[in-house]
Amino acid sequence: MIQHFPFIAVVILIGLGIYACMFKRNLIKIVIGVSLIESGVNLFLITLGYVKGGVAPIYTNAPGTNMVLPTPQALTLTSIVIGLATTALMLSFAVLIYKHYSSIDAKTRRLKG
Amino acid sequence: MNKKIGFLAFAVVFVFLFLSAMYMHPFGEPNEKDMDNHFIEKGQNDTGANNIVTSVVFDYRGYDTLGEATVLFTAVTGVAVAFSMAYGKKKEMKEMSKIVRTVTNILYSFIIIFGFYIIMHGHLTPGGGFQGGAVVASAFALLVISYSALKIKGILKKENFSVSECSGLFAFIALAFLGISTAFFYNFLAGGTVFGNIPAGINPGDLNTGGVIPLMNIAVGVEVLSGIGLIILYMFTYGKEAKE
Repeated sequence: MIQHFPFIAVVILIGLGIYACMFKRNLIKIVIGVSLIESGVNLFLITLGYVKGGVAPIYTNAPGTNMVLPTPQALTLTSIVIGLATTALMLSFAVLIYKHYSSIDAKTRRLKG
Repeated sequence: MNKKIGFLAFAVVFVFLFLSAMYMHPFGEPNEKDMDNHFIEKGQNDTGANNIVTSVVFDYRGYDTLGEATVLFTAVTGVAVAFSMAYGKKKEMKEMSKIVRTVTNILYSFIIIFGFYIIMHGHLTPGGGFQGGAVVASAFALLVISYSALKIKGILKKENFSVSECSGLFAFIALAFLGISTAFFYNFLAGGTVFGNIPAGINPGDLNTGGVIPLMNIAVGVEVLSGIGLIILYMFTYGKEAKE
């Protein structure tokens, strides 16, 4: 159980994100849910690559050569930037929808789908 | 009724996620380490960069980074299109108090210098083009919110930002193409005179290493700082643009 604790944290983050996406009606809250899922996935990738007692994979003044896996960290870097870009795009769409319908409730008549 | 089915589906997904978390390998003992061990052992020799994560991002898996830079570019274009479509009431933004403005005057140049330091040392220390670009863009955000967006209009111009964003992306792709005689994203500078030293083992760090990685860091840094700067400017000034 205790070895799986980081994975359980990932599950809780992703579960909260899915809950917000499914049951919240405010578009801003749905965007927050998507970013929660994103953080869960980032935490999952970092957790996968951890080696017990490992240091960051950088040789500049490194305290040892037992290093954590570099590829998940690189992919997380990619994922964070893409998450930033998509969040900005989703928020700007929310602004557009508010300007057009004067509401960001996902259950309004025109937005229902 | 509809909501009950939704809760049921959510419970099923959550239980599935929870059970798969319980069946993961124990924390700290990854199953597949061959490729990563190769990167850790041979990374310095292949690319000349001390920071193995940067050498994975810009050298071994350069295609991923190319896609990422393109996604960022496309998202900035989408934000620009969305906000130039949004007409609306002009909302005047007030500038903040004298204390905030004075602190901004003192701090923002240091933030920009720190961001460029992170970009330049991406192959030696934690950091790189993406992180440093975000730090520089945070200085722009500080400038925009402490002075009002209207006063900053003459200093931070959208046209300049879009030109520098495009040139950053083009420089990145051109650096990838320069090694095309061997392979796309080949590190042709490693072992030469410019950025060509090859470090071995644990060392204090030498700026003259890394081959094309520092140059790619600068190109990506310019792209990211102007991309995020454009997003900030569009989000703060869209009502005003629409009225003119």
